[in-house]
Amino acid sequence: MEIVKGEKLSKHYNIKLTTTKSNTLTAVSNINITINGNEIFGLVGESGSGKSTLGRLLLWLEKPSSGTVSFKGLDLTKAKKGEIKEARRKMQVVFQNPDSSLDPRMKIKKTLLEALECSHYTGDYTTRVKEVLEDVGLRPDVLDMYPHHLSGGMKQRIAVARAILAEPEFIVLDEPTSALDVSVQAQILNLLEKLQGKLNLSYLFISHSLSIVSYISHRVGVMYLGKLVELGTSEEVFGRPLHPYSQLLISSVPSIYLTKRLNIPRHNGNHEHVYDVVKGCKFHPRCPYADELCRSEEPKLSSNCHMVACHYAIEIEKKVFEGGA
Amino acid sequence: MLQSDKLLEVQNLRVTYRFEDKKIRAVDDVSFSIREGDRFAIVGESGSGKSTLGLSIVRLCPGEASGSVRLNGIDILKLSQEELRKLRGSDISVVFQDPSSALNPVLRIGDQLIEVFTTHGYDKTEAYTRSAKLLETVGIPEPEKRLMSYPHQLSGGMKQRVIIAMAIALNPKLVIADEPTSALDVTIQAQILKLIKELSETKKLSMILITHDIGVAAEVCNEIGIMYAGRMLEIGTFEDVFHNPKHPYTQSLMTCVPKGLKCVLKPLPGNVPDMSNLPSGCKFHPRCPYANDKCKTIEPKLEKADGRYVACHAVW
Repeated sequence: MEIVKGEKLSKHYNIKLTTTKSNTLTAVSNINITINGNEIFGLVGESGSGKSTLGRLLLWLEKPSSGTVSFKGLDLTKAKKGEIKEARRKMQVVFQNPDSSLDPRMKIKKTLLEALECSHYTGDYTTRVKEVLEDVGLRPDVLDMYPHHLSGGMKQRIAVARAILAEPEFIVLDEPTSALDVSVQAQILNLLEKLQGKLNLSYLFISHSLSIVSYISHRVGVMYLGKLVELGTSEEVFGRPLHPYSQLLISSVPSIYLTKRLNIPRHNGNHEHVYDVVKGCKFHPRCPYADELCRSEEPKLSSNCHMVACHYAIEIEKKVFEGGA
Repeated sequence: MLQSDKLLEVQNLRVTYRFEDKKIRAVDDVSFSIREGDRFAIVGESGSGKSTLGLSIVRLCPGEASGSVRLNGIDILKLSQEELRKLRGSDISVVFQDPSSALNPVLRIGDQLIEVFTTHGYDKTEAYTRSAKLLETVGIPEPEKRLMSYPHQLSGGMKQRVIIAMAIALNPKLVIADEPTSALDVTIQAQILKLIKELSETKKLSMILITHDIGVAAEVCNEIGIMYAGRMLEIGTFEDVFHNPKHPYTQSLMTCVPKGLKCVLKPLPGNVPDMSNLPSGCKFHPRCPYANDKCKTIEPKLEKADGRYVACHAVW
């Protein structure tokens, strides 16, 4: 069953350069995405690839420039205010840095109760708060503390607790472990995984860390300059990446296992500035396989279950994985 | 004392910060040495004292240091300010984490790079040609044009290349790189790590790389030191420490990092200790699955075991 669906989503921002001149920045361009019930959908890409913007669009925190978002069949572009509010209760978000997402002047108790009030929760507030604290592995005495009393990992647990309080069905996790140390990061990842199974949640898990996404996700989307360039199950995308960009990303991850490397040619340079409008495939200036076709025509996502947006996906797959000419 | 193959020898280094009447010992009794051409990684979580240790080697750290840091036999901790200034840049240089804050935003790249040469006695024209050549060495196209650019006109990866160019400008013996790629995207990180490794090989540079990412350490370095709460817990070659770790902390670091599909994460319980309120005995014992009574009272010393140095009472 699908929970959230984005169709032909695009988001443009106007960046003012001077009083008269402005530039259009396309953060998300023409993306179709479906997140099913009980699924962890991982979204990877470098900074500026539009992954956070896509998350915000799906939460209706930001209105798309074009395209539609539907939540459990309800088209949010056409829904009334009341209906959107109703749907909002079922979606939540956890941000990267708990220091800035928790109010430093509120006791943890107030922070958590506020979340329940806002969602018009009908049950008993105090029992619910205690229940959730137990779920995230914290003792009830944190309720009378302020965020600065807690460690980074505990603060992130509070942020997770706040998100699951109102019994949501869909949570956007926007880099939830990037601000944490590795030993604490593993605790939070295990917690998120446990909660997902226990509460039947769907996650959109946004991260720039490929190892984390490959660990936690069922399906994975790879974004490059606002485009979804590859989409498939975690095994497909990380085990046999088809898009040259995914191949570059995966072989760039530093690892203690130096032997397991993809056999790929050298890629060029940096990613292009977002509003330098690249004609054709957005990746062609960096792609070692690019030719005339890539420079003129933008490839579409293929319609198999392991989707890839590349003109030469089949040839490249042969080259990289079978060592052919 | 002095052994000819050792470039840098750190012995019993302690660094103390004063903070609101409290003394915080960020680095405690650390000893290690680096041979010529070694690339040594200091790996640790935030607050483990790895940056303090790295910066204390060039005395860029505000804390009080005791012990000794010898570069080719000369104790850096005993140098005068004037001698120290000569040493920095020409013998030891530093690459910092965030290239945007390490470069001066109101000066052109060229001015900042040429300054490195002119302060060390080169004349201006020579400094200019050397700067341009240097930019080429670190892989920046059109170096003459880039010398005229301001930092904001370059991308993050380019800026880090400029910083690296400055660090190697005077052919130092040792480069200390403090999280050189943490501010960069993963594809750019791969390029920079490759550059660092190539430069160190072609120029026979020794390096200290400070990082929290065991992958980055593995990619570049041949010697690894694992830090926790201001102590070195394990020092050894890359193969020994990462593929056959002996210290329980190193072992659990390896199981904390997801290694792709279908791996099992075994997180450490608890948190990184508070440096102003450290536990007794072995600083790792509250989180250690093997801790016994001895660990709670007596702090283990780094001792040779199985080809590397480990600070643990129960070496497996």
